[in-house]
Amino acid sequence: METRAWTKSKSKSRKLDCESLFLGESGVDQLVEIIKKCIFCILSVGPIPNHIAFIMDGNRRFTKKCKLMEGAGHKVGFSALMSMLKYCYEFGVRYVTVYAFSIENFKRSPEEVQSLMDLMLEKIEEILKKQSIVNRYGVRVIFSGNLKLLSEPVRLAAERAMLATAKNSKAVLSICVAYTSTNEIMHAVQESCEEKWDEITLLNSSGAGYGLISLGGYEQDEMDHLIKLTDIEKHMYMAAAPDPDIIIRTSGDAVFLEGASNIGMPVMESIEHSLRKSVFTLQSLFLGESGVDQLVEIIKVAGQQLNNATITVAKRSHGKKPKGCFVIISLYNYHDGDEGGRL
Amino acid sequence: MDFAKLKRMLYYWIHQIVNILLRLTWHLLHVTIHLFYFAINIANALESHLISKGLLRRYKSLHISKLQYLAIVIESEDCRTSNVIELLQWLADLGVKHVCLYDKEGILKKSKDFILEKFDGATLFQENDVLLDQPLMTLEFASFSDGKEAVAKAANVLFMKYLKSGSTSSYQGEQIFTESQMGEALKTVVGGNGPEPDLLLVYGPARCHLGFPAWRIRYTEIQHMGPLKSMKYGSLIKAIYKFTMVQQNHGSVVQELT
Repeated sequence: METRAWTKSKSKSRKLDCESLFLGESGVDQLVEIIKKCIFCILSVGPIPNHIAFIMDGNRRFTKKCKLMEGAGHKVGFSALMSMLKYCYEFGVRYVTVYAFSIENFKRSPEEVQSLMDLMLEKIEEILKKQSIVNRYGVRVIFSGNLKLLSEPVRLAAERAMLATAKNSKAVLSICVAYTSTNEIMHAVQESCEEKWDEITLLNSSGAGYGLISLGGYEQDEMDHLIKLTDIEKHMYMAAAPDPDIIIRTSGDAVFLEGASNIGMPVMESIEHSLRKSVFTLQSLFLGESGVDQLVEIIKVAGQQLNNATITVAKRSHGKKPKGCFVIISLYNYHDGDEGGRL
Repeated sequence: MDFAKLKRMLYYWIHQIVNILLRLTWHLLHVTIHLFYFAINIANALESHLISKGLLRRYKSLHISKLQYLAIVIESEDCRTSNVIELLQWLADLGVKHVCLYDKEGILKKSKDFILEKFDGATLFQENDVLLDQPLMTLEFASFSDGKEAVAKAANVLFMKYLKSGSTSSYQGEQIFTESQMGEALKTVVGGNGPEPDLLLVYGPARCHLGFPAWRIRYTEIQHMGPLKSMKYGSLIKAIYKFTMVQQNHGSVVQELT
């Protein structure tokens, strides 16, 4: 039995050698697969971030760069995203957020917006199928953003997806569509005001209000603190997940963009994301000593939720000081980011 | 029975060895990348030294006019007034007109008067000074209370306004507040609220904007500069140069900054 296994592996390696000798595509692919697996094993040993956010950017630039058809860049970006998600879940990252479509993007040409909507619809339907990544890893899908701005079929599909995956609890995928940070702030403020209003009305109706509606009974100080920061945080679209540990922006530009909100909360700057650099940039951000400091900074500044995340990280590294988080290697074979966003 | 136990022990030990090997590889990778970044840091230091001496021609002429409003985020612990004043001096030499200094704890705010006294090339930012050509540099000081907490205060302001307007007892559930109202409320809550910065320089160990009001940095280019105590004139020039060379796509409008 052993000899058979040995010969099998020998023939496989010989086959690999031949293929790599001819530098055939499949040979290189297999090599890449093996390297991927090795690095995966190594990375799993270290601490893993709790929440990763992706800002999908640069699809159109990619289309221009590779001279593809219109809209092909988005499809390619989507498949790259799917593989990234797969890696995230295999590593055990619990929360993943994707900033897919901003309200600003509605300003683009109607054909492009329509094709994006169609693509979204198609992909949501795919997600709902049985063998999809979502069901395999027990992922709950949440659509954040001002869904009323989306067209009817997309909105219905999104709501159906949310309902269908509501029971999954292993991981959470937040997809932000029709989303901007200012919109989220507005929405949160609106909701907190409504809530406060209902509270006051209730108090008033039960006679305990002392005429609060007419503001007779409040001191100036109290009036300033009717709505607290925690109320607003509760109503943000992103309340379902803790703050991101890392935000990755796929085009290599260091612009913050109207994607990530978490207003006032520190977010990691986006990281340049090209194929060759990705291993070094992402890993080094978190492996190096500066990575430890950064993690400590995030913890200090970000507050309770992230503190809990750190505690899990520390536990995984067996009580030692966390050496930093590890990020998935981006295998954006397609998404080779341009340097600094230049065309 | 004994054989099964032996097998279990063998598997256990193999598992342990593999685990140790993996951890060693992890650390090895860590060290390699650490060295790689060390080398990059040395190269950067050399480059900024050359830039400060004026030897690299590329950086000699900067289109400073592209930089309308610069924001600087400083790590509160790192924050020493002498360094800050030196940085402001460099910026004044480069010709930057409007600067916002931010730190989370508000230390800079507290030493506002001290800084303005020591650095006599600047005045405090006023609301109506927006981007006019001034002989002196205008400074704005901000802290965390101008960020997230300001949103809560603004929400209170809007809520009060709504209550005072004496509307009917039932909430209609429509969009009661618009973005401009929110903007107005924020302006009243936060004193000296400046325009959106074009470039945000982060001086601190973390690549984080540390709570700078996020609604002001929607289209801002963010550059991480390292800790304040190791700030270099050359890297400042390089950051500003990089900013002036970037082309941005916003929605459907393409702004060419070169």
